[in-house]
Amino acid sequence: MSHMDDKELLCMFKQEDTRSYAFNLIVRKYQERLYWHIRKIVVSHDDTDDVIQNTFLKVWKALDGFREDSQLFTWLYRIATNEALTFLKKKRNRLFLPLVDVEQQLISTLETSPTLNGDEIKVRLQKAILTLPEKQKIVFNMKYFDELKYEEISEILGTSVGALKASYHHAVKKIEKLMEDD
Amino acid sequence: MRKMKEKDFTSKFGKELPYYVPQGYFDSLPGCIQEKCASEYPITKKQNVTLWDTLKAQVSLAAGFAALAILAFAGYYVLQPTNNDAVILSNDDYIEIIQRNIYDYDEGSIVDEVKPLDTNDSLPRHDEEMIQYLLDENIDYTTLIEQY
Repeated sequence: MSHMDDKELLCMFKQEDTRSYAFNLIVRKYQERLYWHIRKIVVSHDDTDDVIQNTFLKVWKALDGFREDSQLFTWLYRIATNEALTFLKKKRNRLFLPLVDVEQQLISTLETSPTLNGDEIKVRLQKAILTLPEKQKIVFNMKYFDELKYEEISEILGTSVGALKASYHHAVKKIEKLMEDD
Repeated sequence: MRKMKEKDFTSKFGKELPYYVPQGYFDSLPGCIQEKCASEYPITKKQNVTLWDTLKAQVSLAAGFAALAILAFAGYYVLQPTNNDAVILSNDDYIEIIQRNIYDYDEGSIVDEVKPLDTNDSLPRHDEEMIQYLLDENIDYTTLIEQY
């Protein structure tokens, strides 16, 4: 059921009788992809849980106005990315922390997380990614882990394909260097 | 060349994430989200809205004001005492009232009330005759004063 076509799901959502059911199917279809996308940005499971719930709450509110100019999943990714970045911004403002300290906090969350499960090289890679500038970090995650096309990332972030390629290239170089130095 | 480099990178670090999720999390998440959405943004059924539905509130308000106006009008005119209800006193009643209260006044004050006011602004009768006489005889008033 959760492998229904996006168009069918949207059609169902527009009808009052099947609205809740269609939304449930959309959540089931995209929850894992969005969860991991958010988790890579905010690191902690609890924070990811908050952000993903807010993301779907926004989706529920705004899906009526979705014009289908873009694909549903790129639209969902955009909302999730914005929510995750807003969450980090709020955290930074709440704790009066500069950007570097927030990154440091994310790294320490990564190290002390009880929900950490993996060998050392994966943890080191995540640490290296967390030191990247915000935009490079997101581009790298989408390209490397989620295997999205540059065109899709461009649709999500509203950045040109050329700029995205440059960002990814810089990110890979930095990560390689950090991993070698470590 | 680039693909080779990417493959190298992937084989070196892998694509798996070092995080794990609490068991059953993805089974319960849709329910949690659905509950949150229902409580924060409940579905309101769209109904066919008629002209009466849109005007109902305004009409009720107008009817309320009209009822209030009628009540105020009725209250003002119904409860106000009219001349019909006033007691009509006969002459005998007036006499009785006066007789009852006459002892409140002494004789002097009654006389004062009844006595006509002095007409200071009018000349006495003999003065008027004298002026007429002087006018008739064409006698100058100052000459008269000088002689007396």
